Amino acid sequence: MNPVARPRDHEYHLPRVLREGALGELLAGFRLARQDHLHTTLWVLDTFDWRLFGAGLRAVLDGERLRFQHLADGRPAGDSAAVAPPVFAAAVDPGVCDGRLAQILSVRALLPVAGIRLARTTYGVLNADDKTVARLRLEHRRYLDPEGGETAPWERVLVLEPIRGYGATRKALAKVLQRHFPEHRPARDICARALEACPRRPGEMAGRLDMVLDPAARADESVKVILGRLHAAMADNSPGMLAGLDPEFLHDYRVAVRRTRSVLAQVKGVFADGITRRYREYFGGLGALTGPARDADVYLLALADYRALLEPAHGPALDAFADFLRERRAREYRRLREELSRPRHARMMAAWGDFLTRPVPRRPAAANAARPVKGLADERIWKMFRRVMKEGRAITAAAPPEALHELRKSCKKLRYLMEFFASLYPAGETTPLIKALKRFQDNLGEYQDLSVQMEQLAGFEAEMAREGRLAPQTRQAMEALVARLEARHGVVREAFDERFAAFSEPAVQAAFAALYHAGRD
Amino acid sequence: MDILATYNIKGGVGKTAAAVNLGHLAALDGRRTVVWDLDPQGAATFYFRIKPRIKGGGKGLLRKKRDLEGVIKGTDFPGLDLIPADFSFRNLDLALADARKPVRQLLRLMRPLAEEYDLLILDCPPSISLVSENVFHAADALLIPLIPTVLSLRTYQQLQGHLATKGFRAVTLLPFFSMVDRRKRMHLDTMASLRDRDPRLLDTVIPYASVVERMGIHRAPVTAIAPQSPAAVAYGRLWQETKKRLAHS
Ligand SMILES: Nc1ncnc2c1ncn2[C@@H]1O[C@H](COP(=O)(O)OP(=O)(O)OP(=O)(O)O)[C@@H](O)[C@H]1O
Ligand SMILES: [Mg+2]
Repeated sequence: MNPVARPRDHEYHLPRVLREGALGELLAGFRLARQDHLHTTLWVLDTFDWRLFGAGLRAVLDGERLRFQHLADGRPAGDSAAVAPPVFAAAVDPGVCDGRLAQILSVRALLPVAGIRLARTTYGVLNADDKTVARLRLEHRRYLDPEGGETAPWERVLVLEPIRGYGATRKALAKVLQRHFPEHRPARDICARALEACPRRPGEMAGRLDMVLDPAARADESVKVILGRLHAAMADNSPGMLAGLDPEFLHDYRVAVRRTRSVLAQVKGVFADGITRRYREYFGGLGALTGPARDADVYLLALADYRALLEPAHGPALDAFADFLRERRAREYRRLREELSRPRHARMMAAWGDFLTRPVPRRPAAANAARPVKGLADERIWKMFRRVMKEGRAITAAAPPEALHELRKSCKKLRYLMEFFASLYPAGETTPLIKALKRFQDNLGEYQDLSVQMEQLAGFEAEMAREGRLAPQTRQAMEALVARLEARHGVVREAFDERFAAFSEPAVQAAFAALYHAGRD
Repeated sequence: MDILATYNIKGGVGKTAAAVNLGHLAALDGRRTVVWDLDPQGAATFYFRIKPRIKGGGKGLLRKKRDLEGVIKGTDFPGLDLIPADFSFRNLDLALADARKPVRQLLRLMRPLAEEYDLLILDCPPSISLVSENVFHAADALLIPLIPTVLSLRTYQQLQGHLATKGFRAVTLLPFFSMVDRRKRMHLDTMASLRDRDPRLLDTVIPYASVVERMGIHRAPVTAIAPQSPAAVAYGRLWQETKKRLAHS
């Protein structure tokens, strides 16, 4: 697969106060022609439980049409005459969303979840043949909640829309704009921006992956839906993450990356080998790239807990460690921004989105591609459950930490698989099993986290010492901390047997077998 | 990706007009579309105000020095791109003849485009050559504009004979009448005679209309400069019919 060479839009944030004519003067070296003007209010619609979002789709209502689009890359998925919300499936052209709208919405109605009041003037940048070689869209945007209240300060944005094959013009424009408007970035979808500004965010549901899969649908198609949701979650969290706003953005972004990698690794034989390999590698790299920034976040967040673990006298000594972490965090986020602003990243992400929304091949070569997804899900989950059981039983008091680490990874894979495919099973049946698994995972997770923390704290300590900023009190405090973690580590390890016994008790095993292995052996 | 070619051995029958207008309509219809101007004269390229030049020429492409993707230009219409003509295309036959499997070369170049486009339209020069054989090999369907004259129907028959003897049986033929003047008795009679004989003939008829000629002045598709005009409406029907036939071919 070739990465898409199509150039992407780029947005420049203009100052809210701009002298009249300033833009014209700035762009005096270019031939501009006003091509279009639009003044409208757009409403993003979804059900209260985000069903469209869950299906990788979005509905946008303007004065004339109700348009549907794929979340992953904004491609249209059909449109219908505008109707005032609440909009039920029956009021919409049945051809939209590949005919799936009624199934997705069921009895629910589409309601406004966020709005944008938009004034947009589009200018063509012309060459000597009067050919449009780039476009500039000047947009004035107000972000609204469903009641019409403003949710964020209004913005004035100039979007540079390059045209393929006219890279020199794009570069020349970018050079001028960049110099005058230092706040710029690859253009964001305004609907995503409006949702972000809104009190109800689809991100709330992002962690839960509540999409609705059809058990009889082809495996490759269903897996594309899951991956599409994860791709959208990355896109949603990426700006907040790059801005270094709240650790949650990076966290959610990483979860989506990890889950993507897990799907590619666990659900085998649904795509061409080359695709799977290429993106497993890519998302693996992305996981590694975002790791150090996340670590810095984690330790900063954990500082309060650490202080609580220590004698009050040690508290102030940790301030030097906190400073060290903050610097590190700033540095790692900077590095992250640099790495993620490379064109290759945008290109890979875009190509990935393109791949996910492209129709599946009629006669796929991959062995599992055309199988009904339910059978494949049963098989994968059951296999992973058995592996967890086997690895769990092998853990004795003498087992090395690595064995617990492996088991923890298997549990995580099992958990992801159960979550991805939850909608294929009767409502409510996966939930108690996930809860049982989660209780077990908590033990393994804490054990692993403590191991990592002890090791990393020692590493940080050594680094601070090298930089000559490890005062004796700080060293003492950090060593005391490691000792406390070590004690906790022992307690957690001892709880393992009991937790595993609870997870492997016959009732749980029977429930897993009934749900994922019914009617076989 | 569907590959559609506008083709006729005869020149000046409305091949380029069809390619340009259908390209525009397909893009409006949501298909990611690219038109490849294979005619060294570069009429389609001219209509889109694009310079008839590709870096490295046709040889650069054939010798794998340059990907087709690298020479694509965006038109003024969203969703519609163009691979420009190049004057060196007049020697494309010679360059193709040098290659191994000369009839498959163009399809090889086009294949990667399937990642990005739903529809590729080839605007072909008139004449039978190695270029046209490449087109017969690559295309899912040939859209064949026919002027309703006896001579014109004869070349259509020659084309069918040629395709049969050369073994190009997979390609679907989509003949349609073009530049039709309904006031001419002879046009009406000729159309009726073919309609009886050839079930492949499309229902759509493109009328002779001066607005189509004005494409050369406006340098844009009729469907963009005069979307309500009878000619633009006829191209709309032609697109709908073509789309249906492509889906069933
Ligand atoms: N329906 C029409 N009505 C009137 N004029 C037309 C019509 N279709 C095409 N023309 C004009 O006829 C001329 C030839 O049309 P066009 O270039 O589309 O044909 P062509 O088959 O591609 O020609 P060539 O063989 O030279 O490539 C052009 O000047 C065009 O404007
Ligand atoms: Mg022509």
